[in-house]
Amino acid sequence: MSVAVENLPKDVEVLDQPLESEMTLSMGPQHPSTHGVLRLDLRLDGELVVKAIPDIGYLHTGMEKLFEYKKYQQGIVITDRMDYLNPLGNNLVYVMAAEKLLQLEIPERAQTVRVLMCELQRIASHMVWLGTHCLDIGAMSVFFFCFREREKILNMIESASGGRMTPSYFRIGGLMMDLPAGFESRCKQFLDGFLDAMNTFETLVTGNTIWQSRTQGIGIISSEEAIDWGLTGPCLRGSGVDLDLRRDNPYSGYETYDFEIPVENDGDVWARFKVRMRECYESYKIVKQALERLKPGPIKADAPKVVLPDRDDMRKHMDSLIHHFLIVAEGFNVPEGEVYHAIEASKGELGVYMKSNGGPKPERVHFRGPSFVNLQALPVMSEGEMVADVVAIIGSLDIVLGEIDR
Amino acid sequence: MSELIKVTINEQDFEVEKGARLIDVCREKGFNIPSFCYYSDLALQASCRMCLVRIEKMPKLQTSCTITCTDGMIVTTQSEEIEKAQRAMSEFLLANHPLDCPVCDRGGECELQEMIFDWGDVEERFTEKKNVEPEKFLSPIVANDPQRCIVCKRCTRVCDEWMGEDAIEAGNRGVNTVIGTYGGWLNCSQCGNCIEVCPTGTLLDGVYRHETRPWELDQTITTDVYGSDGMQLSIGSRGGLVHRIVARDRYVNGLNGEFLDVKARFAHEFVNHPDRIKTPLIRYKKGGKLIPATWDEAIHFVGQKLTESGKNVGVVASPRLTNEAIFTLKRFAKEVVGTDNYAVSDRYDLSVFFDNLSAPLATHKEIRKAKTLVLIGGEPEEEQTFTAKQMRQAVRNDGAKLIIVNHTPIRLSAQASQFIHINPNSYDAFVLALTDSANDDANAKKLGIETKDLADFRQTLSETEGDTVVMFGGDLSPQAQSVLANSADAFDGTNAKVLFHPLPLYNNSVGANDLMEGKKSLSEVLKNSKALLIGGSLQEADTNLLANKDFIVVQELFETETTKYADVVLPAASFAEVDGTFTNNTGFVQRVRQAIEPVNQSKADWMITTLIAREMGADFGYNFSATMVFKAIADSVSAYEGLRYPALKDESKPVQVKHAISAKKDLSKEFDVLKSNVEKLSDEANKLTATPRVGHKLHRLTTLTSKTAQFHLLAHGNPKPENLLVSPLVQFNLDGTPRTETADAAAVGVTDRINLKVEY
Amino acid sequence: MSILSDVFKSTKAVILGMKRTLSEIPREKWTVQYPDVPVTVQPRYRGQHLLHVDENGKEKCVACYLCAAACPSECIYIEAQDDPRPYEERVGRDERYAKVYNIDYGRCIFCGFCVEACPKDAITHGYNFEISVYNRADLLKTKDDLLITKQKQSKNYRVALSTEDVDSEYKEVDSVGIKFRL
Repeated sequence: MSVAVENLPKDVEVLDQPLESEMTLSMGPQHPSTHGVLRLDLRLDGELVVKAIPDIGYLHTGMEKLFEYKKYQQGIVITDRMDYLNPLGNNLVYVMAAEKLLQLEIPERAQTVRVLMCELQRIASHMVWLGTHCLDIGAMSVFFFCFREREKILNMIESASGGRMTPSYFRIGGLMMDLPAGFESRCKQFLDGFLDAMNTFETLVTGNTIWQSRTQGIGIISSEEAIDWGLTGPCLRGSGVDLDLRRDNPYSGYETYDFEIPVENDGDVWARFKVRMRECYESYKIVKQALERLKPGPIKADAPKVVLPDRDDMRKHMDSLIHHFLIVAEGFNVPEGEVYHAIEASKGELGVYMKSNGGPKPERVHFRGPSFVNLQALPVMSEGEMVADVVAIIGSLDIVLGEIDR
Repeated sequence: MSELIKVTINEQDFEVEKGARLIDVCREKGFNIPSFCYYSDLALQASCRMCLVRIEKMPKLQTSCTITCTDGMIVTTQSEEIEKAQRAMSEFLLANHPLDCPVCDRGGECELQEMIFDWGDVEERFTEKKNVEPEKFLSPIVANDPQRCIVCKRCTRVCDEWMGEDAIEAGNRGVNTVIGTYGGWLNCSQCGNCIEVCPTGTLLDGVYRHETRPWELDQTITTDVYGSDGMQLSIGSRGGLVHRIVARDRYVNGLNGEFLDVKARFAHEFVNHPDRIKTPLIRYKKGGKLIPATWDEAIHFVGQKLTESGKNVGVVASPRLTNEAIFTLKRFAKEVVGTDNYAVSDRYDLSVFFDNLSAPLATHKEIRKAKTLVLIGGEPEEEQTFTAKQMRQAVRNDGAKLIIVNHTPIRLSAQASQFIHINPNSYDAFVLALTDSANDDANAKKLGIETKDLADFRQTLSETEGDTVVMFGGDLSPQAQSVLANSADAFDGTNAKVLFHPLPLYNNSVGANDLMEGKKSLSEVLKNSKALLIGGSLQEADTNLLANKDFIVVQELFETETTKYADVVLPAASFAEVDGTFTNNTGFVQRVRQAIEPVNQSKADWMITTLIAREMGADFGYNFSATMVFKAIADSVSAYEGLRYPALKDESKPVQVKHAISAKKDLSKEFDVLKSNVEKLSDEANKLTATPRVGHKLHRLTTLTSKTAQFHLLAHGNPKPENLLVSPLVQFNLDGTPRTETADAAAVGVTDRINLKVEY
Repeated sequence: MSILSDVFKSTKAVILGMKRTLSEIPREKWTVQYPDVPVTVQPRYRGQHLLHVDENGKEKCVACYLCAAACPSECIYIEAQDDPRPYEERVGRDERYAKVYNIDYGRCIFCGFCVEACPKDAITHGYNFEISVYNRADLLKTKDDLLITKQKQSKNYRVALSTEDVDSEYKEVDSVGIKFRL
């Protein structure tokens, strides 16, 4: 079908595509199953996807530039808003990069609390993934059960930091505050009920034939391709590549915890699903170990020029007051240099490149967001699949647009 | 270039100039040495003991601020021993420091904070109660918290060396040492330099009291609007309000260092004052009221009226305006009206001086280094404070000879090596005596001095080994000025260089003179014209000449005597709201930068003139950009040739305009006038013997300074209040009489504040 | 054959799922019937700020600007002023106080940095979270809105005890009597 176009400038070329063989479907940015404001430009041949082009940037907020105008400590709040399902992981990678530049040694309790909170956050993140993934494919009630578990974790995070989705709990040099009284018993109570909840999910989802047939053999990516596309996290491990930074490049004392890295070889949606489900159990194990290790101790590094002094000292001692005043007002100078630090976030390798020019504000902060890189593989995975399966594939990638667009 | 010697610092060898101070060398080479009391422009103190270094073959740690480098010196600036000493020192300094940072105005730019952050120890072992002394006022402008003091004595040294006033001094001894004043009250010129150099929050600005924080302020480097010294300062503004003015070297590095005077530093309240003219005002009927109007209306009205007046329009520029504004006014007269009726409303005319200038202008640095200073008339410590400071230091620190010729024993005369106390109004006779040594007896008689005085004067000049700077104030007649300006050879010593330094009264007197080339005298212009365009008010004494004019337009900030005669008043922007340049008395053309948006509906003076010109059909091609105005100045005024704003960017390297140096001229006509003037002088005259009061000109209430409340108290004799703990502004009416209704406030006891502080 | 087994397996999955889902019906509800029932917030929850006063009702804030300096979103605007009056007549506890203290909730991100920065314990996060307004300008809260003596606290929250655990939190809600409301 061609349309007569009149009065157009001569240099404008009108593309006139016949509808019979291919059609373009714009999926998103308001589509509920694109997990935010992702827009997919789908070229369809009937119901088969010929080409899928992700269109991103609807949520672009210029975060990386924003870091350059904030003191190091103030940057923490920006990281909260990147991957908003895993804010503590973002906090962690940012503060660890700054700590690397400052060469701070973090006390053991702070390290343990960081691991504990990050693993809880990983479970919460996976709960959202599972809930929404199921919702996309058509299972409604799983969503509610997942969010109930997440709610418990968010309550715990809230009790520790005061914020639910934007905790900003970690500080350069330690933690914002120590864990509140009763946190450990709350956490134990959560863990007691968690296996039961996982059981529910296994019954509802894993053992469900409909689920299996919707996911098995869909969106396959081979291990070589996965490596080529730079996939990390569960997406990579779902393709049979055994890589996890917690084990391979340990930080915050992960090397001392006993846990396994789940790997599946199929490379399809089902494999990625199974990796994440098994990760929840591993996180559960880590949280349990961390709880056992929690011993009273300092939660801030012994670095008076970086860490705010104790509040009682600040009220009584002139030295502490001056340090408090200047750290808050002018920030602290970070030695010149650049650093890349990466952690295993719930979605894959979350890395931060930080460059300091010796002043109180970073010269450049760049994030290697796992969602952003993983999304690249979407066209490879979805080409040749059905339109309905694209939804399943997006779900299995577990993307967060806040991090992709930044 | 003096001899180079070898010094080893931290195992690195350096070649330094002989006689260099060790602390300066170390800092220059990048070794950070902390110090409180060391201040490069002041005498040595070595009281803070923070700048300790280890020098080999010396038994103890040495204070690097008192050591001059010697050949082969081996210095260690960082070691455990030194750091331990420094940390102990800082611990002592804080032992009695109150926990005031959140309240203290210095917080955020406090040197004590910065030093403690770098060198302090967070472990504080002193847990004893601190001595509590309440914060009090030392004058309406200076607030003092003795407890915060670390006794570095910078303030006392500044007061003594820079100002020569000794108003602030250290009292008591040992641990009881406090910084105090005579009689508990500062009766000095209130320059506020003690506030500026204070490294802690001990001495604080009473005008900017508890207002905001340094990091909240936008710092804009600009030039002083009061004095002709062109002092560089930094305006701290926030959200369209000017909060304070400082010259602190962390913000600005101008010719004046950290020096400012009372007007430059404190009299900035006028910028945001509610009395500022808010909209254009039109007086539709003579004798009627000024009625607010819109800009369009006002400009249209002005354009129409001025066009009607044809060539009978005169233009007057104030020497307070920027070069840009003055130049635009001149262009308006020349190009729009087509008349030569333009003038500058200065107190005295500098054009004869510049026409006959026979030696270059002295910069302030040259005054500081000069060997002989001749001051004829004028009172720089009241009017050109920075020049006075340089003179004082040249005499005090470098042993320069200061010869003062004045009819009153001004305060500087105490420092003069020769004070020639002449009769009032006999300056012409002195200028005549300078150039004409034959009639010394007669001239001396007219001057009321001994003949020997003149001989001594000549001898001092001839013996000078170095520069001679000749300064003169406004008491000289035009003929005397021209003769003096052309008589550089009269001051020639053995190998001396002669430099001139005029002492004009206004910030841009020199610039106005440069740009208004071919100007007429003010009275002539006022007489010749029926309509007037006036930029900035006239001297109050001249305003009666404005009566019975057809039409007068005034560009002003406030309602003044001049605006009473105005038919249209256009709200002009103050120096803090415009971009431009001022030319100071040493010929430096320096930038004025916009700190805040023009308040109310005001516009820059040059822009107003441009708008009127456009209404009358002339386009100056400025495109509403100050840069273009300055380019036009540079293109048409020879002394400013080739200058552009970027060349004036660095305030630490000011650019001197090229004033033409004329050769020896035949000035017989002027001589004749001088001679006849001198002959008219009577031999008997009453000499003025009373030394003028400190601040008698500085504290005078003018249109601008009267907007700062503190100046009213200063002008009314700076009364000492009953209760130093409470701001004098609360205790006094602005006329200096005690306020009765706030007697309760004044009665706040010492105990009240002490109780409050013990809480911590 | 495969079709039959598919149907069988699918039916089994559905039955298992429904069994799990239906078994939830008699159990306690997790949903909070806000705003009929107050939401439980944790003691450290970061809601709308409170400006505190001392025991004599004098504002603790001395307008030191540290909160404004610490704020990453630049939402705090302060104007300080000198108050030379005696303690009894003063607005604040010290002779320096905040004449203007505005927080723009259109910008505030509730990060808690201001609370951490305050050297006088004058500002803390309260628990009010219902700050939506009809007019964007109303998001600018002045000192009058923020002072603890003047701020109206919403009835729609309760603060959990610090030792309260996750489950008892919901039990508390149950005991109010809305156990089986759907």
